[in-house]
Amino acid sequence: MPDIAPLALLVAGLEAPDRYDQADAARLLGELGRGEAVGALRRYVTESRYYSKMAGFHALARIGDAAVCPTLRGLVDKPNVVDDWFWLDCRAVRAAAALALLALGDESRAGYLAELADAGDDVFFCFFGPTVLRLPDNLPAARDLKARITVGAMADPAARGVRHTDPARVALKAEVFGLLATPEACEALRDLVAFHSRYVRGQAAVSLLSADPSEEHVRLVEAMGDGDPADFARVRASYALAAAGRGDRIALIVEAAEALDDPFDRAVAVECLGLLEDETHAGVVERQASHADPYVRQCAVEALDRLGAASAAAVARKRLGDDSLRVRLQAAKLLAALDGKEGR
Amino acid sequence: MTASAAQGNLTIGVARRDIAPPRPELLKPTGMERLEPTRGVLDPLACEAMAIDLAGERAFLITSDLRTIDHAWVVEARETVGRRLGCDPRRVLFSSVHNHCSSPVGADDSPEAAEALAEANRKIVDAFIAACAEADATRRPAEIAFAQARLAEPVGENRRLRLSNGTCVNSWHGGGGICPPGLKVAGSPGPHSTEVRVLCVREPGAPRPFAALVSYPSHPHLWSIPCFSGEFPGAARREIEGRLPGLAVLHANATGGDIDIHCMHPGPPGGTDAEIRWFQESNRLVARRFADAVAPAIEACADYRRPASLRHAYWSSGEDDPANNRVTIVNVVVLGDVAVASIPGELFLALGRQAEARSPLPHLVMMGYNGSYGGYQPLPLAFEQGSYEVMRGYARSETDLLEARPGRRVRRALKDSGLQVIDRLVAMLADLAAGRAG
Repeated sequence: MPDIAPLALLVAGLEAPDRYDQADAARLLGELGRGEAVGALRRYVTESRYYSKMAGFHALARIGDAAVCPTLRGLVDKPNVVDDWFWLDCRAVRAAAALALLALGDESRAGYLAELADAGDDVFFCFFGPTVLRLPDNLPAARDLKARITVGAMADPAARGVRHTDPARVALKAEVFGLLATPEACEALRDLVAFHSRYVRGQAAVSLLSADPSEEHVRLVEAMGDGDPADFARVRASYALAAAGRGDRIALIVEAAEALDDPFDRAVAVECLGLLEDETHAGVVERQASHADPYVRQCAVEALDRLGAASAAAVARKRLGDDSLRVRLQAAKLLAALDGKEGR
Repeated sequence: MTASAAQGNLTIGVARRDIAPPRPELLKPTGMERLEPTRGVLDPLACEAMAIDLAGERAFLITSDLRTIDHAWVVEARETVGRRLGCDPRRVLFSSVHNHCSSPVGADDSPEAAEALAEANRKIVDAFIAACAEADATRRPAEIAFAQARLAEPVGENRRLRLSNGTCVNSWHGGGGICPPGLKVAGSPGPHSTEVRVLCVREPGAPRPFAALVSYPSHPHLWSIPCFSGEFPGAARREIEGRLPGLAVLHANATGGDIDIHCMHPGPPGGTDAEIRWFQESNRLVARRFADAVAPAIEACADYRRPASLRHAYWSSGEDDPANNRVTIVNVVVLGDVAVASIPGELFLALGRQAEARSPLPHLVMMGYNGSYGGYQPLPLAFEQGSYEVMRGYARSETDLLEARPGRRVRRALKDSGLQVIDRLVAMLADLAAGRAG
């Protein structure tokens, strides 16, 4: 175990050689919500030239220190990343900064988000659609932006076709529909339950039952949980059912977490067990913390954190010596949260 | 002729020709959009040919600093080479490196641009033919060896990023990859490109090889500078040749559909001059990394052999009406236990790894982007994951075209077309290995 405090390990992660390790450190610092990290996160979003730094904006929003607003305003205007005008990542960075400002109560750059909405941009409607809808309603600009996201706007046939064909965008669209939770949104989700991508089907099942766990919808998702050809979709459907109160469906997730060969699918099952916050299955999750695949291990440590399992701290301390920095960071977040709770 | 007699008869020659467009200011490179007029040719663009003859069995391998090769060029060059040099036209194997600072189009709709384009394309086809002729004329006794190198530092990386909801986004353009709030990065959905395969050729008993066919999967598009350039493959070739005097390097792409050079570090800060400087510095950096692994592997190569036979197999579909068909060409030459396969472009690296693992011959060197066209060739699961290569979905039928942009319709992959290419290649290799073909 390295001789470094968990919070310091996370902060140091912002300067890791790999840009996605940096972003994960930022994400975890945001989840931790500790004000001591604000300075390092401010430096990260200012100095990093990687698009993945948008995780840092979200982290700053979660921590909630409005003193960073001047920095964020500057980065909406000049994000210090390459302008990939032919793609979307630069716009996503600017949007992330503008959304962080809104979350911190600063409406001054909401106009940029409105511009994206006016342009029918997938950055606004798909990649940040769920984030926009989760904004608090206390600011007029936030309310206006949220009102822009409707089933009709999402289905806009004039929007770029890829909003309706790219599984990455469609999965986020399904998340948006779940948050809208209107009858029209549920109708759209019922269609997406049959989408060709298992990842979209899985998200559609979760969104549908979170929006309206009616008998009809439960039957639809049950059919996916029982008969979908893809493990991923069956796991996510089972999770959706379990989250809607069907405890009998957890068994499939437990089995998947212990037995699936595909590491990603197994990791998703482990993640679902954490999200269900049922400590009964902490032993299953704990065993996955020593799986050969680092993403499975990372999800296991994260799930133990969510479960508040008695064994979590011991597992996390062991994982501070993991080969994978991502796993070490996840473990550090768990331990840093415990440190915070214990007032140290 | 007996096998032992044939073993003495392997002769190989190599040649290089310039293919830089003569009037670059009237043209622009393709593959990434350019917003300003072309400034010129930044560094050399070339094509190479390797002529092989073993007891009268002949073949030609062509590599080129192009993005793609028109099927019409394939037909003209192979027919001409076959006629002039006395070779079965189907034994001419084509490839391009998929260079996005090459393969010109007119900068505008002017007659001058159209004329410059015709001139540039004529030069390319003529260069293919001339390189083959010179390679043939300079054949010398040879023996071959297979070498493999593993890169110690990143050059080509998987350009797709998998998120925790299972879908993928692009991780490209020097700093790319966004992860929406609420999700986390799960990692790369496929392997990075870390392995280089090399066919080395030397005169019998010589201390060093005189030619090396280097196969490395990756898109070369570091940046969309307003210049023509040999890009990373050109720089890597120059770097290796500088370290190993007397060696001619032929650089081929392989299965690099999901691999990119330009995710290696953040892009330039802006401004064309700065972008060009960044491009040149990055080219030198990746060329050095590449040569650090490949040059020693070539130098250390000791297991040279004189193969007893040259065998060949050819398969294609759609060539009877290329304007209206998806064209797929798989063209294989086997020298002893080394197979060189010319295959379509844009196959994902995992498919290349499958081909290598399933090949009944111990050494497989692939040359992609060979004049076929069928769009990106991912594993079927990628269509469910999404991201740039597959974001418009798969083709519903052989004739299903995609309107990539207004007025431009292109072919795209069927859901399992990548697997079909690999199945076809492995079946051909099995036939060749078993003596059922060639």
